[in-house]
Amino acid sequence: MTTARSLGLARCHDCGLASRMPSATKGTSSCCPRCGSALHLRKPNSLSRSWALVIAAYLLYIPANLLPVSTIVYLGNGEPDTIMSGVIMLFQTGDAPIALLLFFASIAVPMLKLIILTWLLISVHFRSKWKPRDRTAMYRLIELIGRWSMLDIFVISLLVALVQLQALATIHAGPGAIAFCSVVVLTMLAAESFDPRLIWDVMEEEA
Amino acid sequence: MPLNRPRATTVTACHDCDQLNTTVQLAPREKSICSRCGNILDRGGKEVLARTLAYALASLVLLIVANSFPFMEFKIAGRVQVAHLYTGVEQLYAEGYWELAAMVLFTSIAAPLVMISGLLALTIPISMGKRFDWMIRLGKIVTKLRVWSMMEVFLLGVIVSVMKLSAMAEIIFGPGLVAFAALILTSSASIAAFNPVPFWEYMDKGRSP
Repeated sequence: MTTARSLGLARCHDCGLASRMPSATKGTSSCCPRCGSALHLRKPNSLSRSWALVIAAYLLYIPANLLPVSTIVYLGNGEPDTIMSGVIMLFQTGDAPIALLLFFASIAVPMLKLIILTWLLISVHFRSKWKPRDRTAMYRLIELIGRWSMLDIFVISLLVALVQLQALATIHAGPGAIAFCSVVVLTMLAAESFDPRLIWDVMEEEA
Repeated sequence: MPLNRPRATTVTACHDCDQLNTTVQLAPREKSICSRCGNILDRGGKEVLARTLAYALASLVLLIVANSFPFMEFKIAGRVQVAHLYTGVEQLYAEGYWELAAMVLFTSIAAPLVMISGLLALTIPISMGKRFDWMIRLGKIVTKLRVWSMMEVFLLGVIVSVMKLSAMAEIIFGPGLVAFAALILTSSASIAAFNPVPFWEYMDKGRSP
C-alpha cells in the first residue's frame, strides 16, 4: 500500500494529477502544474467545514418538517401541507407507488444522508479502523443519491406553475420548502467538503 | 480525434483513498478500479469527440425548444392553465420565494445550459487540435456542474405532479415537455462520451512540449 501522501504527492482537486508538494510544512500554497488549481494533500479544514454544514442542516431539518411546504386552496378552502402530511395524503388517496417514491426522496434520503455523514465524521474523529472500504462506499452512496431529494422542490414549483386558477384552485409554496431546499443543498455541500481519504489515513499510520 | 487512445501508462492517486494505482489503456466497456477502496478510476471506451459534440449541439437546440413551447397544460372546469418550463420559477419569485426560484432556475435550466454549452465550447477546439487557456477553467466548471444539473430529477417531479393533480383535473403534455425528455437523453449521452481523464491529458500536452 503506497499512498500519494506518503511520497509527498498531492492529487489535484480539479484535474486529478498527482504532483509533488514542495515544502508542505511551510504553509505556502502551491499550484497544480497542469490546471493551476491550489494543491492540498487533503481538503483544507475538511472536518470542521463538514461538521458546520451538517449541524446547519440538522437545525433546518426541524422547520423543513414542521412548516408547511405548500398550500392547496381548492374552492376557497386552504389546506397547508407539510412534507409528511403530503406523503400520508398520497398514501390515503391510493397512489402508493408515488407516495413511496416521495417518501424515499423527501424523508428517507435526507435523513439517511445526515445520519451517514454524522457517522462518518464521528468515525474519523475517533480514528476508527472499522471497515474503511465499506465506509468509503457509504460516502459514495450519499454523494450519488443526494441530488434526488430536490424532487419535492421541483414538484412544488410545477404545482405552483400549473394550478393558478384564482377562485377555483390555487397552490402556493410554503416557508417549509425553503428550509427543506436548504437542507438538501447543505447536505450536498457537506458531502462535497468531506474528504474520504481521512477514513484511510489512520490505516497507514498503523503500518 | 485527438482525445483518442492509446494513452500512456501512468500512476494516479485515488480520489477516495489516496492509493497510488497504475492505470493502463482500457478497452471499451473496461474500467479500472482502485486496488484499495474499489473506486472507479477510469472508464474505457471510445471517447468519440464527435459524439460529445453532436449530442451537445442537439441538447442546445432541445433546450431552446423546451423553453419556447408550452410544457404542460392544466384543464379544470373548462379553464386551461398553460405552464412553461420556467413558469414555476416566475411564480415562486412572484410569491416572494426567491431562494426557491433561484435554486429551481439554477438546477433545471442554468446549470444544464452552461454544462451543455461548455461541452460544446470544449469539443470544438479539441476536434481542431487546438488548446486555449480558458479551456482549463471551463473544464473545471463543466465537471463541477454535473452534480447540480438535475433535469432527470425534474422529470421525475413532472411525473409526481401529474399523479398528484390527475384526481383534480386533466393534464395535457406540451411539446416543451417532449423536448425536455429528449434533452435528458441527449445531454446524458453527451456528458457520458466526455471523459475528463483524457481531456486533462490533452490539455497537459499543450504545456509540456
